[in-house]
Amino acid sequence: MADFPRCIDWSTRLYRFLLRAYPVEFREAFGDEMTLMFREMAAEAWRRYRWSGLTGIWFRILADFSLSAPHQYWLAWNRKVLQRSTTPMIHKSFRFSIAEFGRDSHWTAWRIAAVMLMSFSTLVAGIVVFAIATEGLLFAVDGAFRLAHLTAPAGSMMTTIAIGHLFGILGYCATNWLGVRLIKRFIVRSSLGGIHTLAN
Amino acid sequence: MLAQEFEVMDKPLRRQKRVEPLKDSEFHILLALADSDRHGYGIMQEVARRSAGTVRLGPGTLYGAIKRMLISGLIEESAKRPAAKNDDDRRRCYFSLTPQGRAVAKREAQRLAELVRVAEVKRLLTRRSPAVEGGA
Repeated sequence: MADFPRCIDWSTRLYRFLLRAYPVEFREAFGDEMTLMFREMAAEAWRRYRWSGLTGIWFRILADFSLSAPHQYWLAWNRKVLQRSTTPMIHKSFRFSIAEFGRDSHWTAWRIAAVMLMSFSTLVAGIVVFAIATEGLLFAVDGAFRLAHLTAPAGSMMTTIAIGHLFGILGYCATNWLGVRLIKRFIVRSSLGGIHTLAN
Repeated sequence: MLAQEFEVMDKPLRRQKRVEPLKDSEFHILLALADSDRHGYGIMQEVARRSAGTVRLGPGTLYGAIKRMLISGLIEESAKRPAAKNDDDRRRCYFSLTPQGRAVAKREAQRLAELVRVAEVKRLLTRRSPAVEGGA
């Protein structure tokens, strides 16, 4: 780095430090190349435009960084989820063994428990959140009517609570729909993938 | 070497990814590698030069796309290296098109050419004369 001005050296060191924000495997595969590339970009900008060029490069790099680093993390996380959820039942030549049967049963039990837990959580969260929100809204409207000395539209408190619960159930259906999609996305699809592989 | 590492690492992901249609950045990279092997900075310079500076790939975007394309088998790490001027050049990784990458680039170019033809038929685009294209 001796051939480059000190500002380029420091910029390169700072960039190398920023590369820590990328996932480890991406950084190990391309970190050195990216550092070399940055240094050449910075040196060229410095040679042409001095400080304004270097500042411009940093703006470009930060924009690129803010988009690509989260994207790489998303890919890395996605890969980990897929690898983790790959069923252990996939074998080309199937031989029954007690140990494998135990491992598969354990795996299946955990997956079923996870699905049930997520479904139950979704049920409770959906009903509670939507019921409370609807009841709060109805009480607010009711209060506003009373303040204005008009006839309250919602009737008794019990009616309001009943309507709130009805909306709670409807809200649950919507939340559950989303929850089921997420479960399919991250858990069920991988086990179905395993069964599909076995069938083939 | 890199491709093999990522192939093992990303096998579950690879099953789900479609190669086509290509992203803009990927097509630009394929075009840059169509005539010669290049390293990352060379690809960036070639893309910027050919697009008159309108497309500028940053290191993160470029190497993210390169990783995807290595996994898809569109490009590969080149074994041939031009004569290195210094240590940095020796450390660099050169990339080249695979036969599959060349075929995909051809198909994408044909698809774009077909779109251009439709745009011309619908008078959304006027065909440039050869003199204008040649810069005369």
